[in-house]
Amino acid sequence: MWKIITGVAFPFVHRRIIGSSRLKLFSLEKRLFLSDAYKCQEAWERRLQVPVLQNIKLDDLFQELDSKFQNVGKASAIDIDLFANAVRDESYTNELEELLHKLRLSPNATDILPSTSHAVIRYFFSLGKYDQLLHILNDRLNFGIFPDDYCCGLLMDTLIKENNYTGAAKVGVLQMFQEDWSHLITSHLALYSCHMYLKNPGPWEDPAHTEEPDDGEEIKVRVKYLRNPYFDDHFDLRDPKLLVGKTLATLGATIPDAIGWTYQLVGWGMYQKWDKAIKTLEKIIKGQQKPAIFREGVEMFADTLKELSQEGNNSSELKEKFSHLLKELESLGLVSDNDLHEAVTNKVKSVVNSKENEAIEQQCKVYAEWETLKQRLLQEQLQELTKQQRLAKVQMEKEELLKREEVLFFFDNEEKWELAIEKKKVFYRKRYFGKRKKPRATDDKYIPPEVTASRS
Amino acid sequence: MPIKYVGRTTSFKGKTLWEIVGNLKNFGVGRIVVRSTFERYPEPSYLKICKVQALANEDPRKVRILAEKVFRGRKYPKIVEVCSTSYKADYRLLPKDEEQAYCKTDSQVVLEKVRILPRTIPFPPLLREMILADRRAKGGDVTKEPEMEMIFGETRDSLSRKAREDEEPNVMFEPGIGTPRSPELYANIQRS
Repeated sequence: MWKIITGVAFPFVHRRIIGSSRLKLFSLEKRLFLSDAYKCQEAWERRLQVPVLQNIKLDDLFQELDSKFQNVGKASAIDIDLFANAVRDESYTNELEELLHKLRLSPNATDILPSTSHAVIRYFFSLGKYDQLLHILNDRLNFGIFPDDYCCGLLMDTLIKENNYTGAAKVGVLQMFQEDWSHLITSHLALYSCHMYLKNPGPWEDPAHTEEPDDGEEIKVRVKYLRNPYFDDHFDLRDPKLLVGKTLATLGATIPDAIGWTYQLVGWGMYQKWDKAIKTLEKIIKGQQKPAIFREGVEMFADTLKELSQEGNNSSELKEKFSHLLKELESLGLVSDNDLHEAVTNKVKSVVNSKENEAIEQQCKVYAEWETLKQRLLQEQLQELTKQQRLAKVQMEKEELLKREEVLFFFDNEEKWELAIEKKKVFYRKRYFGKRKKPRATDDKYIPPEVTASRS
Repeated sequence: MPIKYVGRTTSFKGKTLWEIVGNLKNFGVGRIVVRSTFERYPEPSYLKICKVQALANEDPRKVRILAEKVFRGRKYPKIVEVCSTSYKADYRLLPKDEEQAYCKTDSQVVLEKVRILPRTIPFPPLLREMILADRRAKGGDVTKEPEMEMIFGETRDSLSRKAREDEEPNVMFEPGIGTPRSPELYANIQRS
């Protein structure tokens, strides 16, 4: 028995030792970009100290909101914000998604608070459900959750640490859709994630679910107006190469050094916008900045040119132009042989480290602002409710008084009542008891006479 | 089972306003949206979004937008509301880097009613004779020309308005055909 006990206990102990050492290594080597302090965990937890949130029962709140949506068609955005902030464990993911979807479809979609998006992202982030979170973030029309600059940084950092470069690149692509690279931490982390994604490309979209078997029957759906096919080169993009290419190209334009130029060129190449690529090359050559571009980048761009040859038409001219421009780059010595990966990592680290503390302070201030905003909105909602209740009460009292008046002054108004009764009388037509006419008998053999014009 | 959509055809090219505005953070406030059918004019026409209010879900979903409207190079002095036309799948979002080049704010003019229409015009000849005959019969003043008072409907988008009391109109309504825009249609008419 002793042997069995040790046999059972030993692996358990063994696992624990291994687990903790892995944890130590994990924390030692993976301080990569953002530190743990960036998570602002204490400030975030403090929001739960608000009395409103402490007294909430999540199931009841969900039932109430659900019934409000069904009966009235809309629920207030603050209540959904309360729910999103109060959820903690895994069992509420579907409910949260449902509520967000219903809010998005209601007229209150514009009232959604920024703290709701933040809370939802942090909730899924703490559960580690990145796939579900990315699904929600990508379906903007149905959920309306947009990651703010802080959340972008947090998500990308964690996904990079887990070596999920595809996920991190997806978050970068989301930021590209908003065309907003003003926040330095976000833009540099996006640069790093796209860079690492190019090194380790993985499957981008979830495998499509199997379609229903084709019966041969067409389902006809009635719509008011048919849509003409339209591809806007922005929200409709699905191909990961084009998406990451566009992200890199727009991002590289905001970074004024060799890394920026490299990725601008690579980006335009991946996005297959050859005229923009030509313009970029010409600008680099004109700029005469040494070094202007990394050799790895030029090679990546040359790879993307293979796509060009498949396009046909004036591709041969473009190819010649490109080879000419690339040779010019070489000859002017603008190409540097430094390690692109090292350069990118160093740059991102330096920028992120310098901006991190500022971002943390900013975020704590923002939490405080959100608290005051929520208090104010809750107060307003309460006032609105009490006003409605008072008005309803007044209305009821008015009706009561009217009824009493009718009773008290009945005999004074007796003539009026009699007239009113007369007016209400419904006048029915008398029944017809006489002869009914027969319908005209049509003669099948009747041929109408031909009438010709006659002058008489 | 393939789905076949049945409905009215349109000549629109683009997306509905909700599809554009719902994809943007903060509902695209400050972004510029362009209608494809207005791109047929040489002057730029666009809408710069100022405020967005969502409406209940329907197919296709509408949204109420308050925007600064520029139509054919003329900027509307007041903010314009776009609600009933937001279902049209005719809008496209202008990327931020193309805004400057597309909008051409230097050559923009404020929309003001430049055509000043006359307050009165001369009566048609037969009616004029009848009025004069009537006046003669009643012993009134026959020397003064009878003038017809004009009533014009003034809309927000129009370029013309009725002249005020002291103003001189700059659009003249002449009796007869005047100067037609397509003279070839009137080539064979013997005009006195």
